[in-house]
Amino acid sequence: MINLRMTLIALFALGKGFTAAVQAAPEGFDKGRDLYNSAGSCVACHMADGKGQPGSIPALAGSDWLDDPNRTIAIVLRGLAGPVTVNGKQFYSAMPPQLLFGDDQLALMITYVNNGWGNEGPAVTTEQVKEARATLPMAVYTPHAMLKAFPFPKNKQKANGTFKPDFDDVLTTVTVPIVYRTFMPGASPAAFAVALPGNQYYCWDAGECRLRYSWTKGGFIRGNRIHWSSNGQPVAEFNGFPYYRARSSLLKPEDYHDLAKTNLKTPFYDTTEALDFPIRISEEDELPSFRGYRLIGGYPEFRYQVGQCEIRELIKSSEDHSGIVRSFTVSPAVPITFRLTPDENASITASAGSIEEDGTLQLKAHEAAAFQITILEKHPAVPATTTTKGGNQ
Amino acid sequence: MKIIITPFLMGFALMSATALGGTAPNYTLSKVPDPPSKFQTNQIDGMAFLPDGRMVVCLPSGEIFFYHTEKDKWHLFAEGLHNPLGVVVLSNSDLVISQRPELTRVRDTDGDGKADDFEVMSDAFGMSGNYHEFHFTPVRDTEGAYYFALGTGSSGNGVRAIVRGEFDPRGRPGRMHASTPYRGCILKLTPDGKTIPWSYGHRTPNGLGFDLEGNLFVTDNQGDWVGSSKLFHVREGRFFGHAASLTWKEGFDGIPIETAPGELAKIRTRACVVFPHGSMANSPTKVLAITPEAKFGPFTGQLLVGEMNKGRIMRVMLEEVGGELQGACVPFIDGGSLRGGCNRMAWAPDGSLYVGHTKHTWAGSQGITRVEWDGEAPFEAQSMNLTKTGFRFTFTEPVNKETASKPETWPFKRYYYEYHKSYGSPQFDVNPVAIESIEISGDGKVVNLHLAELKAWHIHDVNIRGLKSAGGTPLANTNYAYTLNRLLENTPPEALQFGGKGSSAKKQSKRKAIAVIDPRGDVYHVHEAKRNGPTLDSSHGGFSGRGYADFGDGEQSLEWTVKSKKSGQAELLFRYALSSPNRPLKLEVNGAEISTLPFPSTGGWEEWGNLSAKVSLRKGDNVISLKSTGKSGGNIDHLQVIVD
Repeated sequence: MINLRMTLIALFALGKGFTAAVQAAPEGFDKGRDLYNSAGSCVACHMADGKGQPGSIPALAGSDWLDDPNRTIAIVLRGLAGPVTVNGKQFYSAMPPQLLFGDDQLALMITYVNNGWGNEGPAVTTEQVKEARATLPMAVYTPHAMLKAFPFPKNKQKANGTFKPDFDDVLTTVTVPIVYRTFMPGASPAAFAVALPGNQYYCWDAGECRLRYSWTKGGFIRGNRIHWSSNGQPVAEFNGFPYYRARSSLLKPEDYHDLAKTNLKTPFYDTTEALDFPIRISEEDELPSFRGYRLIGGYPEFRYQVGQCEIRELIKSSEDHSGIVRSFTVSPAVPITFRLTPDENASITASAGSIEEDGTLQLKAHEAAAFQITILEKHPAVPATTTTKGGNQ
Repeated sequence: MKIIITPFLMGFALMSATALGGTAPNYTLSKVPDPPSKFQTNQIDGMAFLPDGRMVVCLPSGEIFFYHTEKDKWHLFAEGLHNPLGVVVLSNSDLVISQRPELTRVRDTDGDGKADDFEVMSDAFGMSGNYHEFHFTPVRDTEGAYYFALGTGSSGNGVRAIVRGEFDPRGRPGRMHASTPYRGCILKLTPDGKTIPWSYGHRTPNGLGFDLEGNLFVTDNQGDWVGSSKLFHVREGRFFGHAASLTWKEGFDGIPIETAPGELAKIRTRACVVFPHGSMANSPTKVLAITPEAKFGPFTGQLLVGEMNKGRIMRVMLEEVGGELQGACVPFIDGGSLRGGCNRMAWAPDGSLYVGHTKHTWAGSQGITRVEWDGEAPFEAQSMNLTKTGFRFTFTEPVNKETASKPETWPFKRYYYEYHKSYGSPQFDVNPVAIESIEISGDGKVVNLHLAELKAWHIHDVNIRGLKSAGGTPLANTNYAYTLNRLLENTPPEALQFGGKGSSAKKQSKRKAIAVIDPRGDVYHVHEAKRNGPTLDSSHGGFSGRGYADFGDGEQSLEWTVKSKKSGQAELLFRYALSSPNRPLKLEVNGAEISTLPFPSTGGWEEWGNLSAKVSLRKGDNVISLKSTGKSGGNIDHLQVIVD
């Protein structure tokens, strides 16, 4: 069945004038394999053998999702977040858009995926990727939207590629703020998960008094019953992935998956070592202490102490719901240095002062008394050439 | 709350008609409607009453509900807290709640009936992120200081990538660990806002409570360093036995787990009551004093202690001997419609008792039970006191003098539990204690028993099954266990009663392959059993023979042929591990179905526990089998047969 379908697609592709092949080792296969296996590339999650990781990352080897190269291109370019069924197994997909690769590189990688590990699929061309990048909507796909745009063939509709998750708050519209204290990935055990109207979500860490990350696609943390009624072990999961992560000198970006683990022998670090607190009010690094929070219209306003100053922080969705706005007050008002960490998937602006290239924001006392930091998700954009890195201006 | 459980021993004892007790007919139990949690959980982890008479409950979902008992109306006061496990009420709109990361003041400041301010009262303690690091039951003393209890981490899981507070690797090895500050400690928050470690050596201190004199008590659950579950009289600076928290005791420089148990035994403070494992309690919970306002019978000043593993609330009677408190425990509200998981208790304004049930994947239940007393004294021992030569029981009604005067009515035995690093302890030095003489007071209410010997540092345990009141009423609860640490005079030096040696952290990590076997009885490994379906597997460590039986789906069974030297009662201990929830198996003896054993989760595939069942065996060969009940079973390690 799959072979027949592949052949039809290949014919269709040929009919449109693209070069395509169904041979075991099409042109570019080796280059594609090298790109697939390069650091920080597909291999990091889907593994060298293409088998993925049980329970968390779907396999590419033999995947029933690879039947349509246009869908594969869309997933790679725009990402896919939400519940998916792959070869009959359920996953909460959190496939990020691949912003680091040009059209030619992605074409080679997809060609490799389509033909590696015994897969028999078409080669993909640079032109196909280029056209898709220029025409696809600028948003991460949900499985539902993806399968509407690129449906499975009729004889596969029953399996339908997605499933109804066993929790009620995923992908729904958030109308009032939701605040949960629970174990969150990428934070100390004293963490908050907050959902904002406008479907912006963030993780705030009371252990270090800092915003850890924010995300929007894929819904809030799963409020399923097991999470709340078990022995308390589970670390919360959510289906999207952060478009913004506050960097810390103590964590490397690639540690992200380890930050949800509960079975380590020793920690990466403890919070008494976390001397890179973003807000400095003096020359010395000072550890903040958490004082609590007040709900204002349902929004938590966190308060914490640094030296003699009390800082308050309240986070809302930006007006167009494309990011978050963090409102701060510092009392008594003193000059501060705010070490913001730029993120390639987010733009960061401040209501006062100017942010230097390394992310440092200097505020005078009267500016620090009340100011805002806005973090907006950057949308994937067409790169200037097919070989440049990133392309997110 | 702990991992290894032998929860159903009493259940089976009851089924075999050797009645050990029950709730006196003077107490009526009723079910309270469940709170309308949006997460469909009705496990109760915190309970108290507001000045306006409404009940407060804390749920694992982080929801805090108020309940109007007369109007049967629930009101959501706060949500989003992290596993709140206890609540102190300051006013109708002001609560202090223990949740994983903090002791938090939760207030409604704008009068709309919903909490809007969450103020940190204390977060001066660490969190490794291990699930077992519970934050239990805050209490407030008359001066406004708070005490709260921090559970240790479990070897069933590790630590998170980022831990809160200082990480000290000295506290990390061992079965239950304390790698961040003050895990395994009781902390005090002083009225001027300082958090200080108050006592050390706690494992799973799920239940603080004051008596009417202001003495502070806490329970602990059987496990490593805790031979059987206990009640401690908490005092500043004391060490109560579980080694891990010594990491955080000023002046203790060693690695707790490597310290010789004999040295630790010298610095520990003994429990004022030991709850014998299996027969009395396996996972005791909240401590609640019977106040003068409580309408609960003639027991004012005594303590109630809940039990997780079965539907039981115990009564504790303490007295001061040699400058320290010690005393007896007895089941009180027991079995019947009282569900297991008796986690929290509180007195309602009308003097009735409310009980909150929980389980958190362990043995237990959920929901709320109300217990009302009818105003008539139940036939119980009102007190059990030590005398120079034995014990004095004071009953609520005159006893039948004929039965009371027979020595066989009072079958005392004594024993102790060893203090050691490994999980639990068998009973040692188990000996019957003869009755030399019995005196009954003129009014028939006081019975003075003179024992042939009183041995300090031993539990003296008696099951007064044969006693009746003068009117013929059977004693409602019959099993009294008195923790005899000190004698009224000439107490010998404390018997340290320790076992084992300190071991290096390295050895500790290899421990998985070593099975700890109850020294009593014969062990029948699964490789000696007839396996109809289950495979012999060895991928999870800690089994005792060549492997364990891995039950699959469908009709499967395990069959042992065991020899008994005599006919009569025997205890079967099935050693097993199970990571998932209950997987019941049917027990058959010589072809007759005895019962379906529940086999609750042990918390992990390398966490081995024993499930006990009492059966009758015949002389010679007996066939004992475990059969699947439509779904898979746990991993069965061996069967141990202990003939009475």
